[in-house]
Amino acid sequence: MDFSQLVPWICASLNCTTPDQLDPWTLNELYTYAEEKLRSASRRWLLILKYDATTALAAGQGFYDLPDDHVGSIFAAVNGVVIRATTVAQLEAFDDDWLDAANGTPLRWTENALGLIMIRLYPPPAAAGALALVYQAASQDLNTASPVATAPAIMGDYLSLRVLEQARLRQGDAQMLDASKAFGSMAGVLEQAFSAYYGEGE
Amino acid sequence: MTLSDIRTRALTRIEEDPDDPAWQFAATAAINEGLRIFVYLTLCLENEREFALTPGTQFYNMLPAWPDWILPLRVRISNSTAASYQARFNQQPGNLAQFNNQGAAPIPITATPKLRPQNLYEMASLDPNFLNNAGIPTRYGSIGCDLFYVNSNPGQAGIKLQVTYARMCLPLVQDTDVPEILEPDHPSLVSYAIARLRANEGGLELSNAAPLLAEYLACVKARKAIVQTRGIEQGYNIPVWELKVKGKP
Repeated sequence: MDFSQLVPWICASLNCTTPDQLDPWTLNELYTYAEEKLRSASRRWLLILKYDATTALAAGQGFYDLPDDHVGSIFAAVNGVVIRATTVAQLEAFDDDWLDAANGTPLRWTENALGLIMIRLYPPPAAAGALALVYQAASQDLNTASPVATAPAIMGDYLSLRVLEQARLRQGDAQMLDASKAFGSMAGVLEQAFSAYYGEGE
Repeated sequence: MTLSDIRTRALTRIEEDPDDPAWQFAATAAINEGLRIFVYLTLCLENEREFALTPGTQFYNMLPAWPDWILPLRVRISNSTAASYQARFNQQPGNLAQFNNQGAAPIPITATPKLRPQNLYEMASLDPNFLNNAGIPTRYGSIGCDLFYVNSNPGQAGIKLQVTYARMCLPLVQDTDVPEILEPDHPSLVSYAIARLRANEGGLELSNAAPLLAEYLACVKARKAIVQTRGIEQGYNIPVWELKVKGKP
């Protein structure tokens, strides 16, 4: 999805022929709205899913950094064998001494052991190996320098409607608030489809 | 109806000059937006292409390969024994027709070509070791907007899937272009374009155009119901859901 291709249409919807004529908005402001809505969409729905098998396991090490764009893990496997999602409370119920468990073959993973950016394997691996993850990812930056996002074409229309909603909201007079609501409700129709096709995210 | 017809009808009804280039641009953009939303909500357009699996890989992101991808409807092992390129016509966004260039070496014909849909945890419950399995896949799944996976890792090159998927429409560019949706649904694009152009103005113009938007959404709902029923009869793995529209449809 290339957001720059939609900019002329957004400008026309704001009664401007070119981005230079935008008033009181700026082109960067429109991109800011779009980026915020794309980030929000990638959190609300399971929109951007990635498979990553690049994490190398080290013997005796329980904690591993999650990818930078990680929002939530869906599935994990060690050396190709699926391991179970577990909470810390469940681990404690299962093994009171889980923090000092002897090295072995990892059977479970937990993501709430230490903040949101690390995954912990239980028990820690006894040997080197590979961790594979399927995870919900955050969207990348969207700005004039990088207007392309990995998303279906319809996401461009969704973002356009949300950008217009925000742009008209800023104007504040009653007529434009009506316009803002109209764009928002059109985007809401697409949101129902996102929930049905991709499922709810975080 | 052609793009020119739809545009002229919409602009005439909002008292604008159909020959004014600025209004032509706005109306064309509104019609294309309405068309994309229609196609996305109804899943009324499909494509069938062959997809060559890569040995050692079970997960694929589809959008980089097929930008018109929405979601999979049916997946089978392709029993085509033709080596090299498949001369199967495919359409891509941008009005560019192209041949499927993912052909590969032939594989033996399988008697059970249909792949059943499963989520990751269903695959894991059948076989926790499925990520290490080599062989012709029997199950597939899809998660997110384009992450596609199969339950076994094709150990040999040349295994191809025949993927039927819901696809996005081609954009309307030339005046003579015709929307890919069914002819009876074309008037809904006129309604959407009027409502969308009026939405830019707000106020009375917007509220007067609201019934047209409702008309468009009613047409979407009706077409979606037909596509959904047809999809179930086809044995598609189609998501069944209800479009809820506020106010009168």
